[in-house]
Amino acid sequence: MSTRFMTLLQREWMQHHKGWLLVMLIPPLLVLIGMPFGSIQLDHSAPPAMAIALLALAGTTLGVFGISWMINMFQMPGLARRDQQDRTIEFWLSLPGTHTESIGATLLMHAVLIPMLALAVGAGLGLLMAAAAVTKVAGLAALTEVSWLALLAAGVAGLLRLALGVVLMSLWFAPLVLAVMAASAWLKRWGAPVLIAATIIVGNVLDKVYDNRIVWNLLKAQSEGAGRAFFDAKHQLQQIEEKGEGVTQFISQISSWALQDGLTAIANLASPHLIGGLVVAAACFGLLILHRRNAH
Amino acid sequence: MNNMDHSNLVEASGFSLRYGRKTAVDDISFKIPKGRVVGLLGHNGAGKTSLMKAMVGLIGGSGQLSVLGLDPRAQRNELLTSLSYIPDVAVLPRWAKVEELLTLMSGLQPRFSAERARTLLKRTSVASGDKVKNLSKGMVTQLHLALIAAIDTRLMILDEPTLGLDVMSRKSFYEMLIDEWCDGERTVIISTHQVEEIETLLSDVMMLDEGKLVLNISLEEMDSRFVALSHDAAAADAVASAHPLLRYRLQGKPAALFDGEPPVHLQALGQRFRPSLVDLFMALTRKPEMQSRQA
Repeated sequence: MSTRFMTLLQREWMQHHKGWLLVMLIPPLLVLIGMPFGSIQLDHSAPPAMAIALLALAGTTLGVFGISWMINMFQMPGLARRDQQDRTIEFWLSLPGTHTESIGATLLMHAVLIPMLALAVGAGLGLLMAAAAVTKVAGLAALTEVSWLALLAAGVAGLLRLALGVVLMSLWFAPLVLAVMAASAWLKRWGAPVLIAATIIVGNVLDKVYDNRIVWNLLKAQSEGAGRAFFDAKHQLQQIEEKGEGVTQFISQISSWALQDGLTAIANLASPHLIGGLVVAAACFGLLILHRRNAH
Repeated sequence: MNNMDHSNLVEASGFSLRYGRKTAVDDISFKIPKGRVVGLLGHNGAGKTSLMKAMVGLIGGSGQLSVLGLDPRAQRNELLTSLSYIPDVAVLPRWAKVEELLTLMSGLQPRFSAERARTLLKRTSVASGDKVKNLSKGMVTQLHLALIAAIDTRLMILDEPTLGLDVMSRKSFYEMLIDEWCDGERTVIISTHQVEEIETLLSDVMMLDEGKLVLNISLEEMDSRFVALSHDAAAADAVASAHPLLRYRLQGKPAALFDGEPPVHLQALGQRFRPSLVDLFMALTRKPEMQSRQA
């Protein structure tokens, strides 16, 4: 990667890191702080310490990621006009750099790198949360019942699978995200509402009047593709869980599942829906560049 | 672009720029060699900002325009690595600390020297730990100049750099520019409304009026070409009949500005003096109908 592109990524970090870190750290830290004072309700008898640790680790990782990802996605439309709104666009345009690099760095940072960081932060805090949850439910002695090494190995494998999932999911969601960004760039605050309203109206007209569900089918295909790309592409993890072979057995299979599932998710990229979506995304990216070129 | 003389830093030939049906820059031709301090003067809407934006490749036009031997529109990225530019509404990012801006400039502008910028900042009251949002407007402008003056280039383009600043800040800005950047080899093009303040800094002046280049001259040439005559009220009719560029009052006395030597019979009626740039600006860019009304 060029120095300039790395600097543009660094610029994103400089501008937004406080907000990102607060979003990633505050919810799990509040749970951790509140844990000694609260209670954990279990329907049945207490599960094994290993299961508690695994649930806490997975829950925290996915929780931190989910909150961070949703907030980032919510902010994406605003990023399309960020530099115009804070009136710094003339400054950035006075420096060397292509529009593609500038917009690309913003997208890469907000849609891919920060969600990946959120996964890592979530996993790190998840280990703390796992120890705290095991202690809370089963007592301090139960910490020795947890095979931390096995948990760590499974955690790393799962984390790598999720990190790949973030990249692939971003490709599936790219047409939707970039369409909203392009609409926001050109139509300002009305961009996102207009695009959503237009999609709903066109989708309903085609569906109800012409009995054509193409809009809903396309949206469903993109969101299902994104879901499969992110996690458990062939529902294998669910099958392993349903076998009920015990937590230790389940954990031992996570590494091989992660590898297989990742390969399946990559293979799923050979989809006309994804390729069509990427064409739409590229067109929307072009609209963003065109808008930025004229933003002075 | 190929038949341009690349010994000039900027060269335009028959260059025009239009926004829809409105002509912002109208068929202008000029050359700017190295080592000059050029004032680009004109009223609001005269085309100064459009011309400067064209020079840095932000907008395109018709005709020929070459900056540092490059086509600004087609080779914008390459050009921006070789010139320093402060746009008219440039706002530094308020979230950034000064040190962060130095880091960003180092990564984005290959000719930028953070060390040089730190040296320049020592002339100002801006500290490296300061956040832009905590600086006054004058300090932000000084910071911006320090940042772009730390880029090792041969050409600096400043579009209304001191707009909205108080007199002290304006003076500090131009002092830093002349002391720290101009070295006889580098060229600065400054567009401003504060004509009287930069007159002493300039080596050349270009005046735009409704997109047309009405004057492109060195200050030495200006002194020898334009003559002002201060006269008594009784000589007003005689002076008016000689069709001066501008009739105005100076320290209560009527005066007239001529392009070239005034007629010999008038010279005996008044006292010659060097016209100021402001008077020349008024003479060349004020609407004729307005001038006749004032006269």
